[in-house]
Amino acid sequence: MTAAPLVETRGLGKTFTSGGWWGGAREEKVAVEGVDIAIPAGGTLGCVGESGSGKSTLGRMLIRLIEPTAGSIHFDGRDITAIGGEDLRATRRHMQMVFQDPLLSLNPRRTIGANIARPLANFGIRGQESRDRVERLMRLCGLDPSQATRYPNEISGGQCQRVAIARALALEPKFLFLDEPVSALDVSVQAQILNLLLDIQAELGLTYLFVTHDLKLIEFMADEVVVMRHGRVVERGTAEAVWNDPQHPYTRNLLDGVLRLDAPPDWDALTRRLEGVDTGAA
Amino acid sequence: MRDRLGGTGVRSAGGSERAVSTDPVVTVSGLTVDFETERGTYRAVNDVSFTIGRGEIVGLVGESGSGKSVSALALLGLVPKPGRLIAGQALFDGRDILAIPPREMQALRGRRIAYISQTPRAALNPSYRIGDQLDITLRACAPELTGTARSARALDLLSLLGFHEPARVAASFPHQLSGGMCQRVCIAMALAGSPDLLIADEPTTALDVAVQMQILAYLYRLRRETGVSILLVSHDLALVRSLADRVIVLYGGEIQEVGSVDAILAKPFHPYSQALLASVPDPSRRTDRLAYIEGYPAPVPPDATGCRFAGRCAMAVDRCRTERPNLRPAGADTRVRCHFTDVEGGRA
Repeated sequence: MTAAPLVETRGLGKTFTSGGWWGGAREEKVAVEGVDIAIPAGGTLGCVGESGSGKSTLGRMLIRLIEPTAGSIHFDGRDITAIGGEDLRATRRHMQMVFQDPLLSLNPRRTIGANIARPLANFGIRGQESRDRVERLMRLCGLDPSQATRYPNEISGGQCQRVAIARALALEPKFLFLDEPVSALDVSVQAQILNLLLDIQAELGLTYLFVTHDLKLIEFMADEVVVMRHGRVVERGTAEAVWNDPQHPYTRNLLDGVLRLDAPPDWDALTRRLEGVDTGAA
Repeated sequence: MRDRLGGTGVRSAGGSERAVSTDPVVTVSGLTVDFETERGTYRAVNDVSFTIGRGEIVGLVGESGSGKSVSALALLGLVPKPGRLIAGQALFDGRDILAIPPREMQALRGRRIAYISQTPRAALNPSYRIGDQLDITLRACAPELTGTARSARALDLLSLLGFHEPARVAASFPHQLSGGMCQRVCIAMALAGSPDLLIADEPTTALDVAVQMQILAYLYRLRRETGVSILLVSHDLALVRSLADRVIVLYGGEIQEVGSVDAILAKPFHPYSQALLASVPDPSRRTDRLAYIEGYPAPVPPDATGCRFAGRCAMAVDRCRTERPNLRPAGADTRVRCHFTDVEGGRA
């Protein structure tokens, strides 16, 4: 992909500080450190790592939900690291997020239609225009517009995720941060949602950051991959290269963790490794 | 591991009841559960029959709403509300655990039949330290142990699950541990009573890939060392494939296909099993789109006729919508509920 990067970071870092209250010791935790990424417009960067590797923190910093403590973020050619107020609000409509748990990310007391219309109302789009847009968004995401009056708990998890995607698309963003968007879904529904994400990307020219712990999905979804560990990027490359020829031992370790359909893992070898852990424990 | 398990008492892992035998640890027949909701009555589980052999790992696969969790919970005498047990029998140790009084079930549950859930953090009490929670479990499962013996055993169980510093974990609260650590704590608790049957409901769904392998490896080792039978409930075929000896494919509350894991993975007969298998991303062949099953599973009324999958099945014909197929042999090692299997004795 030769397009200019839509999202770019330079030396991005985040250190969380906790404690220091009522005489408690201050603790510092480095969540992300020195991350340089560039996502070309219309492309997908996959980001893998375990919980605590900083992948979600990275994504949230990109859309300015978490304030970085080092480095800079550039969006659409502009440094947005320090913007605030109305400027940030106007920029944010171009960057949206889809969460892991579709049911938790929707307002349970509002209908599906109202959930999708909420970001529109935030930007002053109401009434008939809002209703028209909601209907279009629902169709785009494979939902039946007649379901707009139902509540999130009345539809399945896969449909809830479609609603969440429709809501994320409501303001016609350029960039979506997809934080484990299918991890909470059934395998057969995962495939539906992944296909939907690829379809709308092709149709609307969206740029994705796709965060997941499931390497099988990365290979399918992403062009480029960064592998994160302890807040740092330990490996990067095309999805194919990382899958077929991982360089970093940590990546190889992650790949070993992918369950395959063709054969069961070598449990005896794996349990021997666990026993090694046990003896070292005493 | 056996030494550790037996070493501090409780029922010895080497006891005669652990001896390898061919008789099933549990035999379920005709399990039927209805859900009574404001919108009407739905059948969550319909006429489900299966056995779990001693030391066997049986995978129960299906989507949400397929009845897999309800079937598993029924074995604990815990049909979740608004579910109601309509019919069925589950023989465990010669007794029908679906019919025994709650007090007797209480004595089995958590001791002879243990359970680990898909939300380990929710399974733990957020306001008690891990050690105290293990102590409460041990108090119930092994009343003969003294306080000191219980503490020692709690630490033993934790180090058995790979904790480097069991004492530190015992002193922690659940929120101080990661999801994978919480699940290992939950497995340690499930082991407190040295169970015959462990029901693992999506044990790794909430966990990372690397942690998932670790948890599965512990389950594998557990079975090897203690001969515990495991009912592994999951929507993930790859996961079930990795651990189970036999697979039961559930859809719409009915068993659609059952057989050895090798047979079903190599040659699934039921269109649902085939579609499920095809929807798993396979990195060895890069495709532009994933195969998927159109639509979502719909709730079924108790008097539904026809094949449960007919509405989403690409090969459905009129007969599928009106006549319920029987579970019949297809291939050496498989039984399938599909009209098409008897036409040509199984498809290629």
